[in-house]
Amino acid sequence: MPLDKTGSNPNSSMKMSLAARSTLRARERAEFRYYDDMGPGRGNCTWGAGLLAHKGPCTVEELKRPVSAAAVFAEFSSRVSDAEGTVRARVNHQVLDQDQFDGLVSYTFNVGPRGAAKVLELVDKGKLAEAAGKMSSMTRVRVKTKHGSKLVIARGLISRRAEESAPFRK
Amino acid sequence: MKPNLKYDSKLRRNSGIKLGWLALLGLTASLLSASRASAAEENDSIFGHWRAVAVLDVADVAGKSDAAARQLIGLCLDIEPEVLRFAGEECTTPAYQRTTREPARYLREQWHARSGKLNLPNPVTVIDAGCTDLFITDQSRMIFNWDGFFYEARRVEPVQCRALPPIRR
Repeated sequence: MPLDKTGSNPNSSMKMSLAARSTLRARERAEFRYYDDMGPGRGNCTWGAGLLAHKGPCTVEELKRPVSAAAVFAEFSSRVSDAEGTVRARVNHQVLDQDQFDGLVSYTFNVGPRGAAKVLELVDKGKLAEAAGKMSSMTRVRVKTKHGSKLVIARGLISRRAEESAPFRK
Repeated sequence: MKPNLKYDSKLRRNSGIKLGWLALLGLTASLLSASRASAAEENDSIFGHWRAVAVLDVADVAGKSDAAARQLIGLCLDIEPEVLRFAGEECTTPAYQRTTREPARYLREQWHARSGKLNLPNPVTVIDAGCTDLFITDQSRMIFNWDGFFYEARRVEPVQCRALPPIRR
């Protein structure tokens, strides 16, 4: 798809497709509980898929308290909506097709609106192959070890990135 | 000849309205220009050369290994009004828009990252450089993200950047 030269945002009315939304929902691991983001007793109290509850570790009470499915679903919907808004705002020159928009929303949902900034900028500039390469590289996650933590390549993220970036390799 | 007072006063009233609009337009233009100038002046403090001196932390998802991230320590981050360069990559036409944020929430929501190891002030000034964010801690120190890693950067003189070896790819 070409760059839009009319000055208006060609993607302003785009939304994630229902099929892509349900794939994303199935992919994202939902934590139905509160946890400390730097390990027990460290960092900030967090719930669901990394939503900050408050600064500092969770209280004993919070750690015992389950999070309802309705709250996790509401959080999911809100984050999809945020990711859609980010893609629409940051990619306002390059005309996106539905598959490309879905891929970018899924990627933004996973790495965060600012974490996705470099890819969104490359797409907006029409550098689609570079953007696809950058997306494919974002596959490392931290795992806990005996001596702290280390980064490892997550197999699940390799296939996810392949799907998200495929529409930019056409 | 008797003057047409009704027409004359209507004409004067219309001229007055036009002058009012012109004054308002002029005021708006000068305010906009002053605000742009003030933003540019504010950003003068970040333009220049910065050197990555440490990797402080990494977001939940990253684009390279710890070892590859550490290899970028010592490289210069060049910040110019029209472009930001680091590690052989460029971000063009950054807006450099400033906001003030509560670091723990901002990092969790926008970067899917923790704030604990970054030692950012609260609130922190965040500058949107398009492809990344610059977290300002003081005149000579900032933190920025590259491929998921948070680097501490220190301001350096241009000559210190030219002395660096070419970027390894």
